[in-house]
This record gives sequence, structure tokens and C-alpha cells, in this order.
Amino acid sequence: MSSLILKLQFQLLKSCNNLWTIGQISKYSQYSKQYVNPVPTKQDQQLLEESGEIKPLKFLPIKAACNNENSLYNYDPVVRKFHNFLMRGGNKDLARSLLDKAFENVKRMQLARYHKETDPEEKAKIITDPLKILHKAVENCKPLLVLISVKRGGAYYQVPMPIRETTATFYSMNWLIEAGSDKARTSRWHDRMAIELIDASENKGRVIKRKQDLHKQCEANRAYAHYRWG
Amino acid sequence: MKTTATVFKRINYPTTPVPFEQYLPLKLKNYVSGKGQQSESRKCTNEMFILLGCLKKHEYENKECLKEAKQFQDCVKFFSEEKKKHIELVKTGSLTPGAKKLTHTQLNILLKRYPNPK
Repeated sequence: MSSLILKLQFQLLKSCNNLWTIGQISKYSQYSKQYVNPVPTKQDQQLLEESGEIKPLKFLPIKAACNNENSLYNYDPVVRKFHNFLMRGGNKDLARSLLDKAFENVKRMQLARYHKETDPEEKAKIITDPLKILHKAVENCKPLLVLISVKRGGAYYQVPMPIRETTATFYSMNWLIEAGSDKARTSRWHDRMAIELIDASENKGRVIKRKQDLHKQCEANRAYAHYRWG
Repeated sequence: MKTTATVFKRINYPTTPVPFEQYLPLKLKNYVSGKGQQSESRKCTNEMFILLGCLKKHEYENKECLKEAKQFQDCVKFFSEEKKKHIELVKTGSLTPGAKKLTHTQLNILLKRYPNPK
């Protein structure tokens, strides 16, 4: 009997080992390689239909959509990403409430500015939509280059390298979140965050300074650019 | 000292020619290794320097350098796609008629078909 159990255990282990080695890229994926990612929003689906890329997708198996992806009118992929970067320890409720409070603060501050302004030309320039401000802030804080440490001849060099779109988004959102956290103990995150978001959307403030500092360092280390190729 | 004596000692090299011994067969193998193909030439450095110069000019603000940034990103994108295509070509080893630059897998397929004369 014991030998049979051992045999079974061995077989299980073997199958597990096989599982690890199926795909080098996605070790833990539940889906096989033929499955395609879902397109949740209607606008993206329409774009696919217009370009004709939807035809092959119609005959392929599609993964289940994430529970925070939907086609509601208030769905925003940038906000979704921001929630995920802001989340600590899986506490998404807190992340969402914090960002909502920050949005409320942004709205209040911008409306106060709007009503205070007397010049009609200046008044038209003030954006009061917090979502638009977030989009603009994230877009303004994206770096163009990034420094990566490379080991050459026993020493580490900071080498300027090209950056991907997703990585640039991560940098900008993370800097914004860190700027919000860098505050006095008496003030709240969402209060600080509102100020940072408005500043970044107008292309000034601490996060923009941080981005420019990175560009400056890249310029200073341009002599090491050839270390990219060893 | 003994060492100086050995250094200045005149050595009598043999005047007769050294006989040639063949350890390996004197012909090429029907196989090439793919080691040399991994090296990359320096791509997009010029574009990067142009972008960095522009950034220095405008106090490291990327709003003024959108054109240069787009050129640089397009260059990076182009070469990354080229690399992907090359890797796929190496994996499949499909032969294209009239191609002058061949990958090592393609060369190996051709060498298998038409081996060196024995």
C-alpha cells in the first residue's frame, strides 16, 4: 500500500514538474497559449472592428475579463492602473477611497480657483475635471530615458537607456504616489496628492523636477552610452 | 647567478625542418556555430545623443523635444521588431530564395543538403 502511495506521489510530482516547464514565459498561467486577452471597452472593440482585426479573434478562445475591467461609462484604464500601483497589501478599497478623496479635493480647489478668476480668458483655461487633470499629470511626468546600472570591468556604471511606454507610465505614477506620501505627519495623503496632481498637470512642481533631474543625470552619463552593447 | 647564465646561453635550434603531423582532417565541417550572430551593432545612439542635446538646450523639459523623442522611440521600436523577426527566422530556419545574408540555421540546412566534397 505504502509503495502505491509513493508511486502516486512521484507521479504527481512529475506532473507538477511538467507544469513548470510547459511555457518559459508564463509559468503560472491557467490558460494555454492559444487563449487571447479580452477587450473589455466598447470603443476598443469598435476600433478593432473598423480595422478588421476582430475577424481572427472571433474564432479564438478568450480569457475571462478581470473583475476591475468593465465597459461602464465611468471606466478608465489609467485610473485602474493608478489604483493598482497605489494599492498596498491587497487593500484595494483603501486605494480607491484615497484616490476618490484626492479627486474631490482637486475638484474643490479648481472650482475655487475658477470662481475667483475674473479674467475670462484665464477662466477658460482652468480645467475642473479631475480625470482630465490626472491624465495630463501622468502624461507630463513620463520620462524619455532611464538610467540602468551595468557592470563593466568590475565597476557599475549608470547607463542611459531607452524606456518602454509601460515602464514610463509606471515611473510617472509611482513618482506621483511617492510625492503624495512625502508630507508632514499632520496632513493627509489625499490633500497632498491633490496639490501634486494640479501642479503636475500644469507642468511644474516636485514630480516634474524629479523627471528633469533624471534627464539631467542621463545627459551627464552620456559618455557611458556605449556600455549598452558590452 | 645561474639564471643570467641560462638567459645569455646560446640556444642551438635544429636546422632540419619540423615534420608536419596531421592531427585533424584538413577539410571544413558541414556545420557553422551561431556564436557570432549575437553581437549587435550600435543602434539608435545617434538619435539618443540628438535627444539628449535637445533636452540640455531646453532645460531638460520634454515638451520642447517631442519630435526628437518620437524619432528615438521609433528607432528603438524598429530595431526591437527586427530583432524579434531575426529570432523567429533563426528558430524556424525557413529558406528565402535570393537572400544574400543567411542566418546560421539556414546555412546549416544548406550545408546538410549540399555537403563539402570528401
